Amino acid sequence: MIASARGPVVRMRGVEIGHGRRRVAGPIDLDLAPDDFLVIAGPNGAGKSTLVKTMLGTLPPLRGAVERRCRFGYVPQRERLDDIWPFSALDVALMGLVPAAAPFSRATAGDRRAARELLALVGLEAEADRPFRDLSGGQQQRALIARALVAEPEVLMLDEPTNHLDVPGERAAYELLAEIHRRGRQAIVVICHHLGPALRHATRLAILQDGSLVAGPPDDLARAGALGDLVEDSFASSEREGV
Amino acid sequence: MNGISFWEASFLWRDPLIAAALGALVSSLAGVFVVLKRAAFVGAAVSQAAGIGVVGALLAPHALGISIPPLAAGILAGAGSAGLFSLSRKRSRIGVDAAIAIVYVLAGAGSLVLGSFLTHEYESVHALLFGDAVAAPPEDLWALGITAAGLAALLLGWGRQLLFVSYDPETARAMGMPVRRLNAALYFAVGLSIAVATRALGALPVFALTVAPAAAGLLLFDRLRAVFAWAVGTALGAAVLGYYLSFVWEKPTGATIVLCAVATLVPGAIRRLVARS
Repeated sequence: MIASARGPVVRMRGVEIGHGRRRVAGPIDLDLAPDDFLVIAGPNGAGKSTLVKTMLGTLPPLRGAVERRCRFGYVPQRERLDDIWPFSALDVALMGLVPAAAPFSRATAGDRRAARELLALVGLEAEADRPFRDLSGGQQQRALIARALVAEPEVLMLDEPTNHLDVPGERAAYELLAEIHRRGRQAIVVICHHLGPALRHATRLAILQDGSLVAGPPDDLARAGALGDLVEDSFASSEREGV
Repeated sequence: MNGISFWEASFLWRDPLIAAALGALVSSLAGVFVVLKRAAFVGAAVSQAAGIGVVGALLAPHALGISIPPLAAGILAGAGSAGLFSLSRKRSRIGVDAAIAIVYVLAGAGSLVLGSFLTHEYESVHALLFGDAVAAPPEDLWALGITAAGLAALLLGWGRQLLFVSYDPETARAMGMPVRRLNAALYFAVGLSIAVATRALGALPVFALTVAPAAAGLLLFDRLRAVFAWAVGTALGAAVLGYYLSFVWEKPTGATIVLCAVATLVPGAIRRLVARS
């Protein structure tokens, strides 16, 4: 299960996930290696977000143990952000440094340089000073990825990053994630519904369904028939898209 | 005119004007957060909660045999009620707006019911809570000055953190920030600011100075720094101008300040109209 000599950055053993007393899934054994590109898929309500929150540590497991040896960068679903806030793309990217900032500190020139470099990496160099709310959905997603990367986390987690993006936008988002993954500095964890473009880049797939989790290389899971009905449509649509 | 000029009457207006300016400062600083968090009616709920605090303090000697300073109880009840709003998340079953409404009606009804047990003191509740915009005793000035300094220190020290947890609490939590504690601190500071300013200026002027200048800044600017600058600058301007106009026109001070505060929306409204045409 562990793909790297450096050992897992997240290790889950016998973990049951849920809210309050309500068990959603488990027991789950899952390791996240430093060089993983892990895609978590499953039907609505299967517990994908609950699993990620448990990995992050924002939700305690009902049972079992979760070990973390990493810092996380997190990319939420962008539609959860309120457009009333008057931030530029650069402001948003700089927020990634806030959790580690000391009281009374300000963003330094070095911080701004680092944030601009990451905005350039995600293709938003020219949009750095534009209001975040005026960016397209795909551009907002990229700015949020830049924000998650600016603190140089070991794990980049994304919650349904391609929601409401069109097919080219979705493909571009995954190509960007693949490019970030190739730099080799972060493990990537993506929750998604539409497996087509995600499968092209994933090194591992975790299917959460009916309260249990099956994980492994995508080809192995496909050969074992573990994907079942869940992803048939996705594969079909991937083929139609020429992925 | 009052028979003497505005400047000749400076001994009359100096302290109230300082109180109005400090009240405008704390209201507008708190107001930017209040409007951005879509919790504009927090001011109304804080005033009601302060009322129940005062009534409770007035009842305490009769019911519990202990003496509690009514004004301090009112201010703490107001600030504490705002702190409670931090427990309500944007995506919870009951949103912040519903929590504010519940506190508003509960505190309002509670004040009336508990107030019915008081005899003579109930008449003093209103005066204790809402003070008088044309009179500023030294203790009000001190309370306002300390609150303004505390709020400024909070925003200078933890402003980036407060903005992050207000804008994107989910990510802030995922990155290990103490979201609930920061939100509670912010709401408590907002509630304290509004309660103290209400004592000096009155509920309606503080409500207006909390919401209108911040909303006006958001209509005009795409940068948060500019929104803060506009909100604070125009709130100070509205408080001073409102006070001056009420003096020379002999009109109610609080209402004149409210009208001046609402006038800060005009440039932004014009800008929006021009942008649409």
